[in-house]
Amino acid sequence: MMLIHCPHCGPRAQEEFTYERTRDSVVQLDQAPDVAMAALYSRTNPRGEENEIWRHTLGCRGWLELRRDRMSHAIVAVRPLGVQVLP
Amino acid sequence: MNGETVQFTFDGKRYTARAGQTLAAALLDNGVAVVARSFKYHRPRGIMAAGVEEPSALVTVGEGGRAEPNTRATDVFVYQGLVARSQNAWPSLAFDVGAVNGLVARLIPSGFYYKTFFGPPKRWMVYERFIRKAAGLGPAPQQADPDAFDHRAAFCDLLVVGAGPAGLAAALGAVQARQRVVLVEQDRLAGGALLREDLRIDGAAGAEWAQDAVARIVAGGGRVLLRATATGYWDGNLVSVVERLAEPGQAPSRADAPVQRLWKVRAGRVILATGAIERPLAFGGNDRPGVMLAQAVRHYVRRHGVVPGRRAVVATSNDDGYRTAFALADAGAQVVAVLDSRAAPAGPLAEQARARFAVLADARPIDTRVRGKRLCAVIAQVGGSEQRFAADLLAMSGGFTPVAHLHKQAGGDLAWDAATQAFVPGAARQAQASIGAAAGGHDLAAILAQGWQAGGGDARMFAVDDPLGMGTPAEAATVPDTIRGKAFVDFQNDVSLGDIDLAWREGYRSVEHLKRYTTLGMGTDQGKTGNMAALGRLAQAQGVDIPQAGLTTFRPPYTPTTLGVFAGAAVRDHAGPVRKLRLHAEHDRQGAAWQPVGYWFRPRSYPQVGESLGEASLREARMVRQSAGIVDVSTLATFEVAGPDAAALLEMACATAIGRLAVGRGRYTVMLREDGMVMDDGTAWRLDEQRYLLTSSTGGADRMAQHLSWLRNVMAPQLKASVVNVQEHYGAVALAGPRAAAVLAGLTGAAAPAHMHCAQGQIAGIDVLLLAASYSGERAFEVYAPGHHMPALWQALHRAVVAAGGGAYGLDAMDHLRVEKGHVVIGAEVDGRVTAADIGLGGMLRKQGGFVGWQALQRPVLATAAGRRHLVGLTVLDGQALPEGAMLVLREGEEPLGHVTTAAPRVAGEGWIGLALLTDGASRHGQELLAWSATRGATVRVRVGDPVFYDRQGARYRD
Amino acid sequence: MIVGDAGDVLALELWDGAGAGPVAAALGFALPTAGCSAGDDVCRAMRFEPNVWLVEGSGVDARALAAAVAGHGAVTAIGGGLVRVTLRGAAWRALLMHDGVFDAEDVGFGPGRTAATVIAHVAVRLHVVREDRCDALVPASLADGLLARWRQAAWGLRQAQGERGRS
Repeated sequence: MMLIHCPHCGPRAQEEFTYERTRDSVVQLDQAPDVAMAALYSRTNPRGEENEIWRHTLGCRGWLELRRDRMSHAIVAVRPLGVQVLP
Repeated sequence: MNGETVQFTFDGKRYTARAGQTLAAALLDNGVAVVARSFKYHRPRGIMAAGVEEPSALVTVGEGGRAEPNTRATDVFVYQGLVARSQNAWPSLAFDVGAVNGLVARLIPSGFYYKTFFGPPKRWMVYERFIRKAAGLGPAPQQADPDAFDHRAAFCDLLVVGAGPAGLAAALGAVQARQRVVLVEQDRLAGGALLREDLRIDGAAGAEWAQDAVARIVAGGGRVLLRATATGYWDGNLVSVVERLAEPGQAPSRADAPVQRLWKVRAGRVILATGAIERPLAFGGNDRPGVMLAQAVRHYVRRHGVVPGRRAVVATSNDDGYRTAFALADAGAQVVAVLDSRAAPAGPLAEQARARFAVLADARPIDTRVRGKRLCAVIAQVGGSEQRFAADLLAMSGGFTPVAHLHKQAGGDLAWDAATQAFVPGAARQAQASIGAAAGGHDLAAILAQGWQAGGGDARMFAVDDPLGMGTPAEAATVPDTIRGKAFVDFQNDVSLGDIDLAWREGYRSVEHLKRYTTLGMGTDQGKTGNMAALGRLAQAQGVDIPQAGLTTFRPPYTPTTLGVFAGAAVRDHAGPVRKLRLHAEHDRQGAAWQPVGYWFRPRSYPQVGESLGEASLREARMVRQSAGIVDVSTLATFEVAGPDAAALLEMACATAIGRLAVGRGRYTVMLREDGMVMDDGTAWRLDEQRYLLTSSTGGADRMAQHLSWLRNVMAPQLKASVVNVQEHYGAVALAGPRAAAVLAGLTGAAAPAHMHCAQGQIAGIDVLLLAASYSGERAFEVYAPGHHMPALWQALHRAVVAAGGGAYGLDAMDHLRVEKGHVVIGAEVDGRVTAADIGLGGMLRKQGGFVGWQALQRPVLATAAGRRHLVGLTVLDGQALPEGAMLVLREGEEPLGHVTTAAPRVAGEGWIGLALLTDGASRHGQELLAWSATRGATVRVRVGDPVFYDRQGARYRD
Repeated sequence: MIVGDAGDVLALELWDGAGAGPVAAALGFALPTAGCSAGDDVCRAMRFEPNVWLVEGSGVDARALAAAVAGHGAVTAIGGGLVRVTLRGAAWRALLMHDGVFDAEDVGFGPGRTAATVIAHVAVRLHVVREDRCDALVPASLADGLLARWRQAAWGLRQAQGERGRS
């Protein structure tokens, strides 16, 4: 069970988080259909580090982007997603 | 050890043990030599080890649901009334019919199971019955486990695994450095190796020093868990620890108290001081009762006061074996000979030994003899000749295997130490370190200093007074040239050196293949004792060193773990979370029959005396068609979306037009997934200029909450909008029926809002939100109020609706009503494979796109409706009930054209109707098909038609 | 352990930092940083989420707050969905470790701190009021199950305390 350093809450257990998807499979609503479908269905699956979107669903409910090694599970970097209006 | 005694039974016979003894120690103390029969050959087995590595002495402890099969006799402490039974023996341990297997052992060599797979299948059927009967461990208990288990989290700067000298020193050092420390030890006493040695640390006897160390660690704020095994080492320095609060089979100290606790310890750093396990020697008959590991013998003598034999031979490949010879002799046993496999054993230990016993160099056991079932003689090869020694105990030491299981589980590497022929922990991947014997250490003073420093203590030394001296690092035994009979390497799975050789001859080269072919190391002990000897044999055959031969994977748990401890408190009524309605008690009072819906419990119907569930729901549904009814719809997903960009955000999620909705109006809507399929449906209401309420399905509530948060925070962080999940905040009651508007007006004192309008109001002094939406097809309203006001609101509504000739209705009635109206349900008609067009809603979608899923709808495959499954209605033609899930076919046995998604009796009328997804269904109206359910053995004739059966013009739900 | 409805609790969400000033003026104190609370029993703001504050207390004027935040955020009532469980006594930290994954035994998690976590599969929001009191906001539908678990665990802790006291 990984320990994920939430930018808002500090280190928390993986149980509190949900995995969403890889960064490169985010589909914007103004993208052309073929571009959007390519993002959804034709993705790289690198052996090693990948940018992933997670949510601290059972904690602060904030969204975050992890850079994570999919072989060793090592989390290289975490940054918050979305707006944060106050520190 | 105090003088208290406890009574226990083994195979029905009563025995007495001294308090603090393990079952193994107590059995040895009582002269019980044979305690088990082996897995495959049913050979009589005794006790070989003194710790969790014991491969042979497996027994069932406890009775009824509390029985724990395959318990190592060495890993259970005797308590008053303990009941232990032997396993895998019939009719008795002494005379076991299955032992005949030993005679035909030649016929069931390694890989036997696999070999039976070849040839006619009939043969395997015969073999399987035979194998299942012959091989096996203890049977699992049939009754439910009566005991409670517990889960608990712990956090610390440093977790120390193992309270031997290394671990204790580390924890002491960390406490001194003011760290948060957790120390876990699988034994009930701290001390590890100190419990079997006669030496002093800082002036105190080893065992007492250990006790004092624990007291100092606790006084310094540390947490010490005894009888607690670190079973798994996971990502993020999380270590699972199973603490036994009661012994196997033992009732808890007080009713309902947990018998085991699973600790999830998250540590900044982990120190593994897990010690080393002694290796048996490989020689013929090395599994006979009376052949034991040398350190185990010393352990029984020093810790438990039990001398396991009167005439002992010690066979060793290293200096440590001599310490056992001294312990035996000091306890009054006769040491017949020390057989040392080294050519010229030297050093102080060997010197001292020569003064007391016959020490034979270049000497190794090759065979054993038994009288009855117990060892009576050892045949040894000494130099070039054979000698026979009369002995009832053979203490053997083939070197040591550092316990690196947790280190490997954590992703660490192993390094090969040629001097001790052992794998020792190499590079670590997590914040972890291995110390003491687990890291290959053997000198006590050095180990203590290493532990103290690893824990974070400042420079200090421990004074060790060991009259025997530490000796040299242990050398591992080499396999003798002569093997007579079966020389076991995996005692639990009955794998001998001969089996390894056979596997090699049959072409098994990889160690992973060898393991599966021979079942080496696949027992409950995971081959803790004998694996290295087997690997050595494989390497020898390959002509390489052991590291080149490879190593199998270490998997958690380190020792067998009771299933109950994984469940923790999540059993029986708590097996899953239960979500209760605010109105749970109200429904109960009205006699609700409960229906689990996901985690929720909802009223299915309110049966009257003598009424079946089906009759009740049909009565309730007809009541709604005729007068009025109320139903609890609090589980609906609800979201308040506020801000200047609220409509823009909703239009991302919803595929229908939201922006043009006037204040006080609502509209049905659907939400799609990115692949264009329907995800959910609901209604959107404009409560205020900048505030909307969105409802969606109960089952999809969490998914919708996640989806809206995703859209708001990740996809469109620039929007000025707030999304708040108010599913729990609001309770809701739907009021439906031809008299609903009058009932509502009577309660609020105001005219009821028109269909698809919303309004604020007051009922019984409670502020409510009124949404005029119909699911049943009748004039209907959803009445929303904050959860804590729901009981008063329900009572007021119930009184009024009863006065109007109606009452409460449940889920089944709601379902009957909606089927008649052709409304879809998420999870039934909408199963993740349908588009809005498939269910007749294609015209509602915004042509210009811009909502989730619009791009996928442009795919050519979705451009035409032909060939897709469409929503249709089914009318049963032959008077039978329609089976849900039935296939729609032209003739039985043919390819299905679709399936029945929901079935219901007619509310307005007789007979059965249903909804279905049917290939090209839109063009099949009027066609007759069979609804064929092979699983229910039912075939029903149906006619395909429009999904709306009742009030197709929608006259009834309008004003 | 005292159990009751949470009463009126407001979720205040900001999408624009400019709303902080007017809100502080309306509340009488600045909005707290992540993982903290501000104010007192009469009017308190707690922060569990990046842009959302829970505001509660008899002194909270919902209309005034909504007016203050207008254009920068929104106020939504959520109290109907919450049950408040008041945990009293020094053992609340140990209690929260049962079936949990959050470090409630960290001394840094003291008065004025908040945390959202999951305990026995239930999302709970914790607020340390005093060293010997921690309030938990629990979803109403799941409260019964969690309370049963907490009562069982609290009983076990008391028994263990008693056993230690005797020995």
